[in-house]
Amino acid sequence: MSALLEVRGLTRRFGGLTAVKNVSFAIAGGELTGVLGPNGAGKTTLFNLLTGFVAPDAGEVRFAGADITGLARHRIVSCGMARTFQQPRPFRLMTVEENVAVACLSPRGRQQPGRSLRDRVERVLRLVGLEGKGRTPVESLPYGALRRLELARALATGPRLLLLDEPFAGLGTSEIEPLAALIAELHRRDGLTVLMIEHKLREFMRLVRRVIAMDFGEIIADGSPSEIVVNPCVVTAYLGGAEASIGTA
Amino acid sequence: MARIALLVLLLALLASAPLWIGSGYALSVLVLCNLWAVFAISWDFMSGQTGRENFGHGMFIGTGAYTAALLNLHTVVSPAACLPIAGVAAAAVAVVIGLPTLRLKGPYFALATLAAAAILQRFTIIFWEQMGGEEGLSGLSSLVSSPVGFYYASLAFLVLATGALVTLAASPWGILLRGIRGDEVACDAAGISTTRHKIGALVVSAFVAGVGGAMYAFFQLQAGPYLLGVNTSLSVIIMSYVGGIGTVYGAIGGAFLLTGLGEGLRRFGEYRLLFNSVFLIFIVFFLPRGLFAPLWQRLRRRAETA
Repeated sequence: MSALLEVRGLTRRFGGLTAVKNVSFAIAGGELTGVLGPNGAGKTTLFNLLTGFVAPDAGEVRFAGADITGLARHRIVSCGMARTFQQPRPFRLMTVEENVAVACLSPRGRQQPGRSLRDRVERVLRLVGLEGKGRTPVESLPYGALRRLELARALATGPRLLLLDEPFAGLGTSEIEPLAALIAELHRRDGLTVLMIEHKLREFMRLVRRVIAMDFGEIIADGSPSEIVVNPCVVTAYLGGAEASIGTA
Repeated sequence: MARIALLVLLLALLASAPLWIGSGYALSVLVLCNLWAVFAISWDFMSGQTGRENFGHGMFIGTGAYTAALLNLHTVVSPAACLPIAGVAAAAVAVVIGLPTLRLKGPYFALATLAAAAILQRFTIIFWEQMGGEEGLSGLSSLVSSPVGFYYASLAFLVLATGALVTLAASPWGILLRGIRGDEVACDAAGISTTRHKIGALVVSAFVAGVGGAMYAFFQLQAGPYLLGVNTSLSVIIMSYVGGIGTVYGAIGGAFLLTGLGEGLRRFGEYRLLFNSVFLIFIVFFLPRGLFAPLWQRLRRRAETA
């Protein structure tokens, strides 16, 4: 099977800083892959490049066989690649169900199962565990629910590839466990391909099957979680050359 | 149920107005109220829903008025047929203005619309031979012969336009437009083409304002460059804020209050704009949700619990 996402020579400079430097990798359909790296390694820029939020200086992004480099952001979503943001970005002054409805009304969202808009919204709310919260204004949602709403907006567009930018950021352990289980279930049961950035190593390493490690805008390692934690380059990037393994971090 | 009863009561009050205020000056003030209400709700439909503030709404009102005036003076098109054509002309202006400006972020859309209206106003002076210059175009034939008839025509149009815009705002499309107000970047991430929907909203807004502008021209029997001016655009915005932005119907209250007060304060001349501005500052500080929309919601709740 050919790759769902194929990235070749992706480069982006901000002034004198090369945030992403000649990055190439491929993601096959059905993978659950993590992007690892210290702060400033270029992970979020990579996501922004993939989803059209930042234009690359060089390189190519191919999704499902088609070149999507430079395509408008909403068109990339229509191709089947959806993302979440590190900081939740709900639609202010609207209820939870209206928030989800916006994404359900996108060209791809309209093709999702469900006879009516209400059906489609309810389905997504159930999927992320926000059922019964539909009428709540987003301003009165707790942070954990905002994270789930962020996921709901992406899922409502019926993605084939889901990009999660630190989905556990700001959550306590009791909230991370069920959310990690939810992501694992979306991957296993619905066959969703997932690419995620995360700092919470323990949960992350347990969840993903493959890790792409980045530092200074470049890929420094690519392998299974157990290979990555003993990879000397990764250990150096994370711990500045200390002898400890990040597996115990 | 309560909502319908309240609406019927309000409509009955407006429909019976000629019976208790006669057909003189007071009725013509009510016609102005109806027309300004149309301008205000059409502004609020675009700017209140999407949050992108249009500071040049006068260009759509003026385009409608001048289109109707030119058609009426130079062709055999009947006044009634001029109305939809004027709406289409204003909608066309919205496409031309919207395509480049609605991609702009932050305050630039507001500035661009302000500039576009100023340019259109200049055109009326530059092409004074066709557009009548400072004097505008006058000598239009009347749309409805009697003042009472015109009042009902304007009221019917206000009711129709309010019904249409409130329905659109409550439709799934309205949810999309409010999503743009909520977070445009998140809209992109949700797969929504924000530019297309913003232009769509501006076109609807311009169409209604254009038909209203044509009615205004047939009411005054003339079309003047002041319609395209900053005062017109600002008045519409103030009315929407006073009414309660984003509700569409709230703007009607704002328009009635400020038009009525404006006529009442006519002898104070230019101080009227000062009054409007002070009023706006008061509203923004003390009643950020406006005056009329919260009032209406409270009335409705009270009627429902009674």
